[in-house]
Order: sequence, then C-alpha cells, then structure tokens
Amino acid sequence: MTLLAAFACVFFTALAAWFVFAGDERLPEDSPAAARLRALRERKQAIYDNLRDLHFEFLAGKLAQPDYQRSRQMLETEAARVVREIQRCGEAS
Amino acid sequence: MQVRFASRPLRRISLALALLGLFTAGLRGDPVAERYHRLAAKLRCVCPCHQSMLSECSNMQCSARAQLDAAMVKLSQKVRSGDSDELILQAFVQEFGPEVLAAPPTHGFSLVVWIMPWVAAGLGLWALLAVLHYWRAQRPSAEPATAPAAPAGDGDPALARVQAEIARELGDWERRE
Amino acid sequence: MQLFGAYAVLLAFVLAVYAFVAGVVGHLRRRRRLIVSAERATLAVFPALTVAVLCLIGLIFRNDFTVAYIAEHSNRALPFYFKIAVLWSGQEGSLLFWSWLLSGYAFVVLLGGRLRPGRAADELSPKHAHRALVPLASVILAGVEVFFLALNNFAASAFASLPVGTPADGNGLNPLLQYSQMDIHPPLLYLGYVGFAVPFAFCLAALLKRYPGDRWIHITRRWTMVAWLFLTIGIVLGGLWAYKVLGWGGYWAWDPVENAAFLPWLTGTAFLHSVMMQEKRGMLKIWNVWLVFATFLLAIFGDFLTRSGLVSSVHAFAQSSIGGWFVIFLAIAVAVCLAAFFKNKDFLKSENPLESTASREAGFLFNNFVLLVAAFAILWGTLFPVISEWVEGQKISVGRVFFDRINVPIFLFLLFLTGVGPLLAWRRTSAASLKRNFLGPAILGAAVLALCLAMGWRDPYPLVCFALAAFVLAIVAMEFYRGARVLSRRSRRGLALSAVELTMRNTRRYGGYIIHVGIVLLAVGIAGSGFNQQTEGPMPYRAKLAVGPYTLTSLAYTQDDNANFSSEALIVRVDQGGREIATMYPSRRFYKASNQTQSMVADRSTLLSDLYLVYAGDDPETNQPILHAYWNPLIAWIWIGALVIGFGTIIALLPSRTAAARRENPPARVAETAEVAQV
Repeated sequence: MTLLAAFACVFFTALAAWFVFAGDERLPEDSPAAARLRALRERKQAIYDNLRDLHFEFLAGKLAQPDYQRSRQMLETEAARVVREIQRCGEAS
Repeated sequence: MQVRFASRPLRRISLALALLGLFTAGLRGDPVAERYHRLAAKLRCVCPCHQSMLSECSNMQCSARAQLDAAMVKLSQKVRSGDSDELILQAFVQEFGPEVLAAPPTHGFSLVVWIMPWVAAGLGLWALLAVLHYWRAQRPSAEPATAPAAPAGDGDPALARVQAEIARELGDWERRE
Repeated sequence: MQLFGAYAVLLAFVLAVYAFVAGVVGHLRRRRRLIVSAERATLAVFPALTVAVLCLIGLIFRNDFTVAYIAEHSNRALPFYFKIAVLWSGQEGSLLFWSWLLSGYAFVVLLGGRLRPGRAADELSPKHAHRALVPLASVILAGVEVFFLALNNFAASAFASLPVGTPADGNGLNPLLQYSQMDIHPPLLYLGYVGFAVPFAFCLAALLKRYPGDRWIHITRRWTMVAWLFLTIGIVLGGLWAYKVLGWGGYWAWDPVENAAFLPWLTGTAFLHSVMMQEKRGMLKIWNVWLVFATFLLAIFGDFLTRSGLVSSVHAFAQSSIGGWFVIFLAIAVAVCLAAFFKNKDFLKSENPLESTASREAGFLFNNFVLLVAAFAILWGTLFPVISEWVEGQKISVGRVFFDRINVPIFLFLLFLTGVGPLLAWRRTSAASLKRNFLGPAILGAAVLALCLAMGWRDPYPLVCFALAAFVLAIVAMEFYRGARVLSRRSRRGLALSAVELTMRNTRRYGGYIIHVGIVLLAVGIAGSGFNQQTEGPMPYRAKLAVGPYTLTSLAYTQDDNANFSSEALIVRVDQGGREIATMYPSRRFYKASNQTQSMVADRSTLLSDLYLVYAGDDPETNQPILHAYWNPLIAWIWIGALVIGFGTIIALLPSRTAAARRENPPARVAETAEVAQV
C-alpha cells in the first residue's frame, strides 16, 4: 500500500512538473500605444452608453428637458474630446 | 435508552419565575414580571459564547450555567425585595465583572465605545463635505450652469462627428418599430 | 490515502510557491517562459488540492480514525449527508477547504482569461485586455495561496495522525452542525470570503501594471458581484441556521464571527455602488481601489477573527493558535497594498470633477459614507472588548444592545438612500426633475406612516422602516413602469413583456433594482421583530400557554432512539380564535458520540408570522416539561428578501442584451476604425 502511494506520489510529481514546464504559450504583447488606444475606445464606448442611458431616461420621463439638453451636450463634448485623442493616437502610431 | 435531559438555560428562567410565582400570575401586565424581564435583558451570559442575553444562552457547553442559574434566582429575589434597578445591576457587576452587562456602561472608559462611531461619522461627513467642496471648486468654470443647446459641432469636426453619430443612433432607436 | 492526501497538499504548496516566485521574477525581468510556467503552476494547484480534498472525504467516509481530524469531528453513526460537513467543521479541514476554493477561483480565472487561437491578434479586443492582466493577477492569487497552503502543511494539517492508537469511534460532529443548512451555509460563506481574493488580485495587478483603461474595473466589479452573491446568501443562511437551530428565537446576535462576515459585505456593497462612478465618469478611482483592498483584507481579517479566538464567539468550533500566521499575512498584505498605491497613485487620477451635490454621484458618495460608518461601528464594537482589556485590564462586553442602537438608525438612513439614489440623475438633477420623481413615492411613504400610526403602532423604528419600504418599493416600481412604457410604445407589446425586455437590455441596472427590492423585504422582515412576543411556562398534560394570537395546549410526549441520537418531543396543539390550526413537535436530542444535548425547534412559518416553539427540557424540581414560545411577525420576509437579492444579483451578472448586440455589430467602432485608418 505504502509502495503504491509512493509510486503515485512520484507519478503525480512528474506529471505536475511536465505540465508546468511544457507550456509555451505566446503571451499577447501589449504595446503602450495599443493599450492607450484601447483605453480611449473603452472610454468612448462608456460615454456613448451614458448618452443612450440618458436618452432613455429622458424618454421615460425622469429628466426635465433642460437637464437632458445640458447633460447630453456635456457628454457629447466629452466624447468629442476622446475622439480627438483617438485621432491623435492614430497619428502617432 | 432513557435519557434524562439536562435542561438548558431556560431552566434558570423557569426557576426564577417559579420563585417569583409568575407562572400563575401571567407574564404580561404584571409589573414585577415586567421589571424582571427588563432587568434580565440588561444582563447577559458570561460564558465564552458571549452572544446571548442572560436568559437565552444557547451554548451547549455553557461554562457559567450553574453560576447563572443561581444568578437568575438571585435576580428574582432582588426584584421582589424592592432594590432599585441600579443597585441590582451593580450587584451583578460586582459578582461577575462588567462583562455581565448586556450594553457597555455609559461612563468611564466604556463611554468611548458609544462615542467613537458617531465621532467617526462626524469626521467622515466632514471629509465627505470637504471633498465635495474641493470638487466643486475644481469644476471648470467655462461651462455655464445652464447652457443653451449648442449648434452642431461649431468648428469642431470631432464634436460634429459625435453629434451626428449620436443623433443618428438615437433617432434610429426612436423610429424603429 | 492519508499519506497521499498529505502529499497532494504539499505538492500544491510547492506549485503555489513556484507560481509566486517564478511569476514575480518573470514579471520583474520580463521572462515570458517563467511567466507562462508560473501561470500553469497556479492552474495545477487546483487539481492537486482536489485530489487532497477527495482523499480527506474518502477517509471521512471510510471512518479512518487514525486521522486526528476525523477522530475529532466524525463518527460511524453520522449520516452520509452530514459526513460531507465534516470537511469544514473543524480548523484543519475548513482551512483545506478554503485553500481548495481559492485554487478553484484561480483555476476559473486562468481558464477564463485564455485566448482562443486567432483572437490574440486583435490587440484592441476587450478579451485581449483581460488576458494582459491575468498573468500578474494569477501571481497575486498564488501569493495568497502560498499563505493558506503553508497553514495547511505546517500549522494545521488535516491529514495528521493521532499521536497514539486508533479509537473505535470518533467524537462525532458538533450537533449544532447537523442541519441541512450547515451543508450549504459554510461553503457559500467561504465562496464569498475567498472570492474577494479575485477582485483584489485584478485590482492590484492593474495598479502595479498601471494598466490603462476601464477593463480591469469591469473585471473587478464582476468578480466582486460573484463573491458578494455567495457571501450574501451565506450570511442569510447563517441567520436561518441560527434561527432554526440555536433556539433563542432570533437570527442575528451580532456575534463577532457574524460581524466578521458582515464587514467585507458592507465594504463590498460600497464598492459595487461607487464602482459605477468610475465606470460611468472615471471618478473615485483611488477610493475604489481602497474599497477592493479593504474588502479583501476584511475577509482575511474575518477569517482570522473566526479562527484565532481573539474575541469570544459562539462559533468556537474553529479556534486555535494560528492567529500569529494571520497577523503576519495581514501585515504583509497591507504593506503590499500601501506600497503599490503610493508608487502608482498618479495612475488613479480622477477624469471628471463632481458637478453638483444633487446628483447620482453625490448619492453614491453618501451611500458609501453610510456603509463605511456602519462597517466602522461594527468593527469597533467587535474589537472593543479586546481594546478595553488592553487599556483597563477588564473585558467590557459589547453585544446586541450596542449594535442595535448604533446600527438601526444608520441602516434606516441607508434604506432611504436606496430609494433616493436611483432617482437622482448623473451629473445634476434640477429641482423640477426632483419634484417629478419624488412626489408620488414620498406621498405613498407618508400614507403608510399615517396608516401605521392609525393602527396604534408607536415604536419609531418599525414605523420609519415600513414608511421607507413603501417609498423605495414605489420608486423601483416607477422605474420599471416608466422604462417598460417607453419600450412598450415602441414595440406595441404589453407592459409585463416590456419590463422583462427592459431588464434584459440593462441587466445591471434593473438587476440592481431587484436587489433593492430584496433589501426592502429583508428590512421589513427585520422591522417585524419590533412586534415580537415571547413567553415560557411549564407544559404538563393539557396545560395551556398563550402567545401572539395563538393558544398552545400540551397534548402528549414521545420518545425515539437511533444510533446517532435519542430524542424526546412534546406534542403541542395550536389554536387560533378557538379553532385548531396545527400540531407542533418541539423536541430535544441527545447525541451519543459527542454527549451533547440539542433542542430541535418547531417552527410554523407563514408570510405574516412565525410561531416558534422550543422544548427547553424538564424543570428539575417538578419534572414538568418547559416550553418557550415565540411569536415572530414577518420573519419569513427575511428569507424571501434574500432569495430576491440572489435572483437580482444573478440578473445583474448576465450580459445586457444591448451590449451583447453591440459587440456583434458595433456601429461606433466601425466608424472609428475607418477614422483611424484615414489618418
């Protein structure tokens, strides 16, 4: 029984070692420029989502017209800023 | 197998109540019984469970059981003898230490336990208001509080593009049936 | 099997140490092979520990009492469905179980983070962003694993043998744990506690890597929700267990160990709210990072509190002297958090300022403030006995009276904010919008208050709670109605179908509202305790006892006996308004292996109230059975509320339909790619 257990221990140790060192996956290289561009796009997406939400809340009657207009304008300005950044990133790369 | 069940902490109550003659008197509306319950609620079990009121300890290995059985009986006697609430509680503290009180006293060092949460709340609120104030001061002053609807992307192609995209998408959404 | 189990735990430890060391070196020196092998070692910890756990379970089922842990916590007559609970009923087993769950989380994180061939090329995909964070996050998880596996191997081994001999039978499982709730309460609670390690790992990884963008915060939020869901259900099941088992008529005693679970729940809840400010507006990044850190540290602290015996608790079954290990680990974790923060704090700069105090953002700030004050008050009260012992040399007890008095007003204010928050618009809410949104619910709340007063109720806390409950429910109903109306107009479908569509379009928001409904129901259930009644008395044959609207009559007394326990029960007839409505059987059991007696509560639960009977044993003087009877109004709503919270959280975890559709066909992205290409 002990011998069997010892054999199992050796076998599993070898298996674990093989598993750990056999892998040779290519990790995705993440260039700073790509990461930055991705971040900006996420930001833009978030702002667009905010705009959709805002519009929906307005349609649902939760917001007064001036509140809606003002928030929409501010979000659009914010989105434009991000779009300009995206363009700049494109130029840089 | 016939097992004689050792009765649990409620034995204390029954014993004490029996001594008070309260089972027959009915529990509600009897001023002596009410006083007894009120005082019992201010005391708690001193066994390691530390969780329960004197009358409710549900710890199987309640190490203080025998002591507390006697305590409940003592409480009922004291209630009957007409001692003041404070005197009765004081007698318990002397016997078991301050641990026996269900709520920390509101004097001496224990006062700190009562005060600190509110001090923390006050400090937190002050910090919160300070942050709000700071952020409001940071707000770009260029943006008026109530801006009129801006004309589409005045001289800014990026803004014009965003506005067009959004207008199209939201317009589409409203039109779609 | 014992030897093999012990070996598997050691192998897991070696793998975790390798994963941690190779990962750290690999990241510092940018060695890809090392990083990859570290990741694979983290993956391998889970199968190794699974083998160990299976070995322990096998030994438990084989009644192998040479293993000290099994001799201490199991016995032959224990039914098989409770034998599983032996795994977590003591210090060593529960630590192994903890490590296993942690490695399971790491396993899922790593598998979930893998890229399918071909996807790696798209540097801009969210999946790619996720993948980029996983290697460092897995190193951090491996670091946490190293600590727990060190405990498993060197401080509290579940596979250690008894020093001498093998007993014929074990000491048996603690009778308090021999309940079906105990088969699921600890695993869920542990899944919650342990789960907070994942958001912590991602958050710390993002901070250390100065990872740009919002992706890491989405990942952190989702994993926090998963852990939060488990912790919530675990805590409520703990309450249900206390209620059904401990026999004092309540479900929450502010026991230090209960508080320990509640603390990370509070900070986790605060994070789940404040994270929206970061996702929507790029604000509060520093705050969020610290909330994630605090939640993880409090989870470890809770574990420390439960296991170290620092404060006395009814959960005494898992105490020992391993507190020192936890103190060292906590100190290291705090130091790492502080170092990472101060080195990279400029990375966490806020992108937008706050524009108005009447805004959703400010609402979230107040919500966080209140949750943290509650967390502080609870932590303070829990630790005060220790502090008072240091300062004055005598332990001052801080129990239910203190916690109730401090926390009830705090939580009522929180309930108020639960209603107010969703009605505030992001950025700024004008007086006109406020009036439009608040008037109806406020009137309803006031009406409920007036109704309660008219019914003669005077206890202020339940009154305020019921009024606020009506206020919040009205707001949530209004939110669903308004949204569904917009969709219904567009699609010409019914309101109910539109409400479902609305929920699936924005699962996070509407799932969140469902959670709020659950919280309200839970609060109503808790407020019901303001009307509790209790009485006790001897119950010889035909004796009567009145509680609430019921009259109880003692009918008979029975006995039973099996290998595990012997029991005796009272048979009690329940009458209401002169009519018999039920027969109940409060009983007591004597567990033979552990020599312990346990009350079996009889509980008749309806939506309006519970009748809860405890057979408290026999009066030693008169030999008459003593019955303790409780009438607990509304308590069922606590459990219903918890179910609703669980349902809402699952909804919130589902991907939103619109977001999924956009991923399939993203119009904005197409335009933008063209835009970049033009340049």
